[in-house]
Amino acid sequence: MSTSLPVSSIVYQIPLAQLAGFRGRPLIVRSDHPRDLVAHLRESDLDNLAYVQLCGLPSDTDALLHWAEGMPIDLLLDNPAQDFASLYSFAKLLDNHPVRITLPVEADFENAVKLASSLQFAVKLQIGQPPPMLIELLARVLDDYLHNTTVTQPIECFHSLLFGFCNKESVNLWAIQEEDPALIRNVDEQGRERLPGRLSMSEYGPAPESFVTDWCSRLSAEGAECTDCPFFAPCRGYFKWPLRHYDCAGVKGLLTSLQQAASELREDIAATSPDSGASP
Amino acid sequence: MINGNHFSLILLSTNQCNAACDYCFEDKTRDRLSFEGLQIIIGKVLDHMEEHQISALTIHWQGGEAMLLPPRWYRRAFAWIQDAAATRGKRVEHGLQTNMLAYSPEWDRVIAEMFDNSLSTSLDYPNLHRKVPGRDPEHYDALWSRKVRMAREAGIDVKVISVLNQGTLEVGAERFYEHFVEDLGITDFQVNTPFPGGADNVVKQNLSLDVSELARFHCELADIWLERGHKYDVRIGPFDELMNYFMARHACLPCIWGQNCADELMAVDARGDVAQCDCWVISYPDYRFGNIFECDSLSELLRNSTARRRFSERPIKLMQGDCIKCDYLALCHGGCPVRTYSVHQSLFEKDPYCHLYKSLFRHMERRVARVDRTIAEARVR
Repeated sequence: MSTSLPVSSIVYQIPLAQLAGFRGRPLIVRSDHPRDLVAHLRESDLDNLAYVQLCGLPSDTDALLHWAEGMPIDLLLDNPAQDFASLYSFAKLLDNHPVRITLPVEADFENAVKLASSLQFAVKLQIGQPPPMLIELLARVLDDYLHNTTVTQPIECFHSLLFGFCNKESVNLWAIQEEDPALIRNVDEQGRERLPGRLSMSEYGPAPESFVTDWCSRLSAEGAECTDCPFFAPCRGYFKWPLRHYDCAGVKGLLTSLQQAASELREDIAATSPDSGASP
Repeated sequence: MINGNHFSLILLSTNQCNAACDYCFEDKTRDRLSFEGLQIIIGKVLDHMEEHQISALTIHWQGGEAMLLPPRWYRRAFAWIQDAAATRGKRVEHGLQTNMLAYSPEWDRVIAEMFDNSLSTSLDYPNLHRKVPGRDPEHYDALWSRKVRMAREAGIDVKVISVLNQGTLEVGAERFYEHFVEDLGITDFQVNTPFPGGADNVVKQNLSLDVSELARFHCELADIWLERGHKYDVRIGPFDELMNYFMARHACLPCIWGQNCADELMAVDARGDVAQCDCWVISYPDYRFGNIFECDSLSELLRNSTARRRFSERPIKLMQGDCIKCDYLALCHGGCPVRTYSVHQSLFEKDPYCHLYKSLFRHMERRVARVDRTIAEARVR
């Protein structure tokens, strides 16, 4: 599943009930009921659809198996420690769709990541501001992502960061995590527009599209830890929200591992490229 | 898949067999599938495929012994199935598993037309348990070798499944490899582990092998294959597919390591009984999903079967144990239900060959890592 949302216009993450009011705009449509998605999304809606999001671990997803084949599906696993084994029930969706499991980084989340990867699902970690006890688990997940040959699907945000570091491309963690208001907005059940992800409870403000830029400027102006951080460019203060005094030591360790892996990868690729003269 | 893009059907055209192998997991009967019975089965399978928008069907013909029905029966079956499927816009492929004892040149045409001039048969080395009734294993070996030679002279591609036994471990991987590849000229074979399925007998009581010895045998055989066979197109399952897997190529791993059998295949025997696979359908009445002749709809039978639900739940329940911590969960998912059940009398345990599988996975992973460093690079290219 592509994690890069279209940059030309804002994508609205809406409940299915609000579909009528948002038709024609770039959308992510969420629902607890696969059959309702199939029933209400028209052929003409599909062109504007980034993906559909399944909430509440629906018990029967057969309706989606042959519907809009190739359409990405995001499955929300709100309680990974308790519900991870149920991922087996969703594996058949992979026959015809890219499927990503989105889950919070919380106690015992690693089993869900392990099983999701083992079943060939992509994963998106709602990483937030992980406490030290979870940093160690994240480091293990990252190590699996980087080195375990049975992990073949992306685990975000690691995958996009690695890709960006390796190719020396500009990356934006807020965008990778689909939390940059310049790219994505959430719409609640009543049709009210909200900021995405962790920002949803924040004040909407007059210029939500400049939120990340403004936030970076504030952190710089305040002389926060970010000022000297080598990862400020990709992070843009992501880990300083909402608790500005969050200690980034742990996440910096993860980012350092990613950066080192990217350097090694870049060297390996250069050494094995046809121009290098090296034997494969 | 039962409800994905592809339907795999193991079809026992007869429950009867012309061999009397001591360790067979099938409690055989004399039932044979009538042509009318076949039409009912395939009709209901096609209905199910239509209901679930499944476009392709593979029928794995087995027995009992599949060649106990005459070649003309298969030619008629083939013609009818292809027509019935084409009418409904479905594709069908056929595979044949046979002991070959009844093979004669009369089979050549149907093997060419229906089975793409290829078949799969079985032989163990040394052969301790495969016998024709009243005869010894040596007689079986001689008869089998003659039939295989005839088939290969007729241009038929013969693949072999070999079940390992204590004698195999004693002769060792080197001699085993030599026997199949150099003595018999078999270049495509698969090694399987034994299990005491079906009705109990003395042989089955003594079938279990030391799993560490078995693991060592597998790793040694894999090394011999990598050194001497791999580059000359000799294929040994599961090593060839594990190599593909660890080289990040498309891999078709054996069913024992599938994510969930219940989603992947089902078997129907000559009486119309439906079950998870050929290992279950004749010998374990309590685990049958139902009878296809007695149901109105195969989809309903599958949907409502409590036995099938137990198979679906197996990998989910195994996640409460130590499989979730295994480095090779992605490759195995707790292993084979019938190997588990025949040892533990429960579906909800992991495969008793766990140690063998892990040893082999680790060994193949390391061997592949030596020759291929491109896996990580492929991720960002």
